[in-house]
Amino acid sequence: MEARARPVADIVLSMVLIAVGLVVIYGTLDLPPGTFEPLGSATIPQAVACGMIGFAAWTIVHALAERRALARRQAGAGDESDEPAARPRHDLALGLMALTVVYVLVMAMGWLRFSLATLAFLVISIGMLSGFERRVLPALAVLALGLAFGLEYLFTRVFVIDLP
Amino acid sequence: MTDLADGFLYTFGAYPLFLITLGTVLGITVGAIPGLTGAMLIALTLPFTFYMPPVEGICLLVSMYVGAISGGLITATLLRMPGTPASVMTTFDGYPMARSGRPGRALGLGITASFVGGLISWVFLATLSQPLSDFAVRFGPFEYFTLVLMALVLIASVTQGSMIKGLLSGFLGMLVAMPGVDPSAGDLRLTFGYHELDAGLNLLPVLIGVFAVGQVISDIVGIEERAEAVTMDRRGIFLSVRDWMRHGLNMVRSSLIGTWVGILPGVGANIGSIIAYSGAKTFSKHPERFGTGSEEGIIASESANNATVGGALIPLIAMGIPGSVIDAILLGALLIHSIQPGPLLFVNNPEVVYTMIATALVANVIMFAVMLGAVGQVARLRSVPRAFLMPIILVFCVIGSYALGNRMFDVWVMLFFGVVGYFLERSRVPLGPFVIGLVLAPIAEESLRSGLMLSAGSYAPLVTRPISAVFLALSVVLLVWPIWRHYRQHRGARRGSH
Amino acid sequence: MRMLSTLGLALGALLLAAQGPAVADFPEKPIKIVVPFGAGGNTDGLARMFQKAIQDENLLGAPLVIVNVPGAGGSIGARRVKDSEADGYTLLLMHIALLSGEAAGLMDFGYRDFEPVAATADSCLVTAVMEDAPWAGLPELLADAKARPDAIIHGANLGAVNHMAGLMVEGASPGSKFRFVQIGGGAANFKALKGGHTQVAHITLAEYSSFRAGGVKALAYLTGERHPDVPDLPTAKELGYDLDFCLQNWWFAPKGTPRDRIDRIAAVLEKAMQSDYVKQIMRERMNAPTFLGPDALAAKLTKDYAMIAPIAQKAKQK
Repeated sequence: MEARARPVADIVLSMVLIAVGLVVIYGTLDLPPGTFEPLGSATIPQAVACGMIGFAAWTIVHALAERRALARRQAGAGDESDEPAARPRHDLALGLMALTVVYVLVMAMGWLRFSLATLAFLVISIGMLSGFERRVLPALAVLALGLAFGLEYLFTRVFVIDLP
Repeated sequence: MTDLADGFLYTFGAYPLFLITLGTVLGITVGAIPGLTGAMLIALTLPFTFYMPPVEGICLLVSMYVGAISGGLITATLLRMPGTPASVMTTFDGYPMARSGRPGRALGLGITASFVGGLISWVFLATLSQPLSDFAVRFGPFEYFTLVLMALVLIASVTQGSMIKGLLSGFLGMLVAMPGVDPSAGDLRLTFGYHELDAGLNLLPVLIGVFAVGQVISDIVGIEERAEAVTMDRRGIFLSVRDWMRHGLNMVRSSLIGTWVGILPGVGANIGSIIAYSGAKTFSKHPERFGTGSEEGIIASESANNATVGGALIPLIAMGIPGSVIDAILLGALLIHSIQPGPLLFVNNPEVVYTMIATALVANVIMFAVMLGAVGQVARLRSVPRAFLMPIILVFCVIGSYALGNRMFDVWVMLFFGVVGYFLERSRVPLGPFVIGLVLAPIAEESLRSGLMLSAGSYAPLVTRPISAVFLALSVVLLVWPIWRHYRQHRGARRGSH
Repeated sequence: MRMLSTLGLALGALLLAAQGPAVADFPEKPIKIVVPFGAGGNTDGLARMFQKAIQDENLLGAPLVIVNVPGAGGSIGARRVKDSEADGYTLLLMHIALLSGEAAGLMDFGYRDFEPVAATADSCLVTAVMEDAPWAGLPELLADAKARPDAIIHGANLGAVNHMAGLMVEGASPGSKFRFVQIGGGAANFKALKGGHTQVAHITLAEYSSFRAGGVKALAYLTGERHPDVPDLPTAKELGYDLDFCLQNWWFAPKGTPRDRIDRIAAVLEKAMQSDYVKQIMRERMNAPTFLGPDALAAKLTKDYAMIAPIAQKAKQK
């Protein structure tokens, strides 16, 4: 899987980057020209965006060529046998990121204080990743409690920072 | 010289030695935790030092500085997550080596290189700080610009795999540095009316996201992969005579690069390690091994980033000019004790200067001993189940990003760039050039535009100022050389296959 | 009966509690001081000095918590305070950048969106050149800047305080013109002066005293009275220029904060100014121990804004 070229992914990525580059160029159009020197604050972002668009376009050209080459090779050789490697768990990764977003959101909105939010986050996410095995639950509880309250104490009492 | 001896004598006292050990160990710990950085630890410790005599405060802060920059290599090597941004380059070779079953060797090399880097830069700190900083002030905007340009060109030489994708990644990194108050005239740009963006996308949240969070995501995607058997091999932790012979030159060169980059205010430890890494690759007999577990790569990166610590203390001590973010906080610590850093520091407060210098060395030795002693335990980090490790790392990333500026915005930036980093990595876009672009673009822009203000719009000083001309010429050579070598290899390979 | 009265008492207590903190109870939790600049800087140092003094002498009954929110010339932190609850538990510590940021259009809000609390400490800028510079004093420098406009290089952080100071100084002698170059803060300017990249800069008196041994020479002290620690440095007013450029540290509360709370904080700050610790540090940092209460500060802000606004406008042009 990893070894095979993924021209389609490259094309998508490059298109996204080209879009970002265009947004940047658009966003710098109304900036004033330089007052103290000839470049001003728009020139360099524009130059960088143009450079990026150029390389993204080049990547697309490259990927298209690769795709053609791949298609030709596959037509000749038939389907290659994918070896049954480990199943990629995109679901778990997505779940963890979603949990993290909720975790941060809950603190940003001030719904839960840091210690409680962290406790909940650790219990749910570690539980999810380890499939809620009964074996790990005691260790999980100790760890989550210790980290959540320990860190809160450390960062609000010892090092005074403004945790939510 | 007797003053320096007094400084050492002082640091060997029980209490100062305790503070230095504490500072070093805390620094290593925080440095090793992805998301938390040395600058954060030192900023948070600053208030405590108000209640200490100045020399004790200095002992604590300087040893944290030394510890933090060394600790970063642990997670960089074992988890492919740089504990501090300065260890980014260490992930490229440290992790592949650890993965191939030699985590002890990888850590041992990194730790030894860190120690040597610290030692060499310390020698300059202790003996040549005045003349070196006199020379460093001669670096004006044009010299900075061409130096940074040279480092940007190195994107081409650190790139593994597709050169186009490396350049794409470098440009993307530069672009990410663009929004916010522009570094030169202070205009707001690319904020699209969104005020949280007024300060731009901060460097650290972006780096923590791309490297730590991105890696968390791909580790979770691959959670069902068979974990490699962790064989803790103690062989190779200590360098043999042959190792010293083979790597000595690289260590010295990388340390000198790191020291010099450290002396230049505002350039930073990441750049020291980037330049040293690229230099090692350029001079190496086996450049193709870089990125796959090259011993030279680990050594170059780690000796250079530690060398920047001693280097960055040089202008601080000699002139009162902070060389890095951490030095700026150290300066604040001195000011709060009403100690005016600057040329008079040696005259008015010699005890502070010499304690600082002595601490830098003592902390380096303690760092070396502590880290080598802990290699066995630390390497077990790889056997902690990912289900536990990854959420904990995320919590630290959240805290670390938040504590930078007490803003939730930075946390969102960190998470967003975690996803970006994951997709870049999946598309096999190398991340090294991304960091180089991100870190260097603002410095390049500010110095070029300052230079043009100085010269009233003329580009001529780029070639008429000698130092600048040398850097410019080196940039051209560094740009052409890897492309030429790449081309020649390709041709060679093609001819070989026929 | 007994039970009823107990219940009544309890109810009364509850009601009292629900009424919210009475003035006498303020503050009943830590007060956040937002410093819109990084840790270790000048403003941060001042905030921490007050934090220590207030805690050591137990002046407030609750600790101060310093929150650094750096970025975009201080506007990120200032905006945070502007948008926070007006209950006296969040304060902003800033200086003239709040005025110049508004006038230059960098912020879409300004000092009018805050309640002034107090001004503490005062540190005026000096015009600095290297010892081997050809100008004997400020008049010579300005005359030269008039004879050769746009030739003498002035290092500054464009749009920030040291840029405004330079513009004000050149404005005092019509026709003079410096060439401004982006360099940065005090230490960066010292480096640029010493390296011969720039020729003039504006730095604080404390910075001057620490860089003096490195070969920096001051031409004028930008205020009316000489400083006792550098008695031989002439003031701008003595030299015939009506210039006054000082950095005061201003404390603000969000708009709508009750006046009694503002007065309480101002009183605590004033008392802290009198402590030996603060006095000593102020002396060492070469700050004048100025103190202004809420009303005096309000008047000063209006006056300073009128002065800085045209300069901030000018800073946007060459």
